[in-house]
Amino acid sequence: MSLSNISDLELIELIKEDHDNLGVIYKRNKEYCISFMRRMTSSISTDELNDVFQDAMLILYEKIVNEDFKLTSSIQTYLNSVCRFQLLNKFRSDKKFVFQEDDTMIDKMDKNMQYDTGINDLLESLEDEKETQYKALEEALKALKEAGGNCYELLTLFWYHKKSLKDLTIFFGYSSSDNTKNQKARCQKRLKKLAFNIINE
Amino acid sequence: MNNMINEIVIAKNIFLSHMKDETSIDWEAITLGFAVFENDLKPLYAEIYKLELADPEEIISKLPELHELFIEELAEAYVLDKSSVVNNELKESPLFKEKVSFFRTLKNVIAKQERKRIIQELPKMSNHLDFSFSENEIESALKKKARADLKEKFDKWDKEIISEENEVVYAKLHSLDDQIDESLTTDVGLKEKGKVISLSWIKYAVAALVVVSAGFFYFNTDKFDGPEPVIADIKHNTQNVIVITETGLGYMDTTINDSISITYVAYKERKDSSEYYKRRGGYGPEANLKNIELTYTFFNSKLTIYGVTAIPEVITDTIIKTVQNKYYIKIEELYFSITESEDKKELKIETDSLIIEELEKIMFNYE
Repeated sequence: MSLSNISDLELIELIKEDHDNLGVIYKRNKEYCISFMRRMTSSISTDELNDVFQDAMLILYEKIVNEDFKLTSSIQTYLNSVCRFQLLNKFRSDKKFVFQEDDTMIDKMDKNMQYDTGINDLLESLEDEKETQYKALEEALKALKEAGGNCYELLTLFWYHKKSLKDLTIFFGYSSSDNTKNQKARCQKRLKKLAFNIINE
Repeated sequence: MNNMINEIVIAKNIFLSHMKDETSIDWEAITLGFAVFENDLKPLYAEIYKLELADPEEIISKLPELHELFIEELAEAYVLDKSSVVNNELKESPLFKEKVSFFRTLKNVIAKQERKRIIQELPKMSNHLDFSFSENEIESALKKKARADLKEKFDKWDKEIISEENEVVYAKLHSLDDQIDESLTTDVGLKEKGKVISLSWIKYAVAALVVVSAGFFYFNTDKFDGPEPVIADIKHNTQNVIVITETGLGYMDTTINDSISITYVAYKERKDSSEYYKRRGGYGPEANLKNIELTYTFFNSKLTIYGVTAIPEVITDTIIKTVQNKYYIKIEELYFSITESEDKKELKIETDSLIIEELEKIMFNYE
């Protein structure tokens, strides 16, 4: 299948199935997004702009895997808008950057340079109040990954990529959704036990 | 109450796995009973007694465990945002709070790892995806495909030529005693009309075969009237497999390194060749091969499987020894139970879903 002419909505469906398809967006939209940001400011390095774009990709992906996400503009416009909002926040928090936003600078005829001021999505914060538990779980998860087996992938697909038990049953070849649910519960228990041991070491 | 749809679904799923009959159960009342269970056991107990079960104590003894499962699933749904409303009393429950805290942290830790991985892999993610092709690439691919197709045709024609030659040889072998010269002339004559490759050498080849066969029959055939059937060898394949030893509750002892030597004895080619000759009126010395089903012997850590299928490249990588000292072998996603025996026994597929689930659990923990 050729992905060169695929529509945004079809692409979103493909990303829901396999997040590797994010690569299409990366390849298709990155250049315009960086150019768009470059027009907003010249006081941020390209590396920093890349970081902003990558965060925008994650914001888009995390929205896509949420069942209730509806794309109201093109993916390019969405990414431009998210990047713009992030830059604005950066400008506000760090006065050294020069904000050059001016409607006359944005070529309204070029659809790749459009943005929507109503889109102000940010990357969800992952900070946790219980630092000890957080660090222990982080270590436990690492240990689980290194141990091999299906647990790490199963938990990752469930908790981050929001795969349903039905999808996971097919993916791992389990006999039923109930079986998958039991496997997941066992993995969580194992992780909890590992974290508990780490805390009490 | 209308806002408790998620809670009711969860309570129903948990409860039903322990109940035989779901009629006349007031699910809302059961769910509310679960919701307040931490502070007040009575509402749930009362609902259980209302059901007039034969043995209500049996289910009552499981209620703490079922309640924890209920809270856990609810907390999970709450963290995943699937549950928009959670009963206020539950929100204040210490158990619920503890579970929510664990799941939220787990979700955040996993998200952190995955975000990091995705960012690292983003530039590479597009590498294997199919984008547009240039005209030159398309032209070159088409040429390559056309050439490959042509080559395939050449190969097919070559095979046709060879098989036609072989047919001639077979025909001669069948009646070689009395009609060799005559039929050779006829057949070769016919083929010569339609083929480019000369078959004149066949006459000499067949003549040589006649001499060899005649000598062979002279010394070896005191029982058969027809030509000696060429029966294929019985093939076998042996491999060593480490036994996965369960120590209890689905856990394994990875320090035990017992292994079993498995030999697969494949009768397929033997059976096919025997049948081939029988169909042609020849004598099949192993007529009883058709009775060989999937059988095995298992003693002294040696398992021998006899089958009429072709020899598999890998017989299995999984032999499980359970706490009850029962052995199970997994072949192509099917489990077979095996017991020690020097006599051949039928290799039977395990169909008990509970046992299969247990075996899958063991495999899951092992992986």
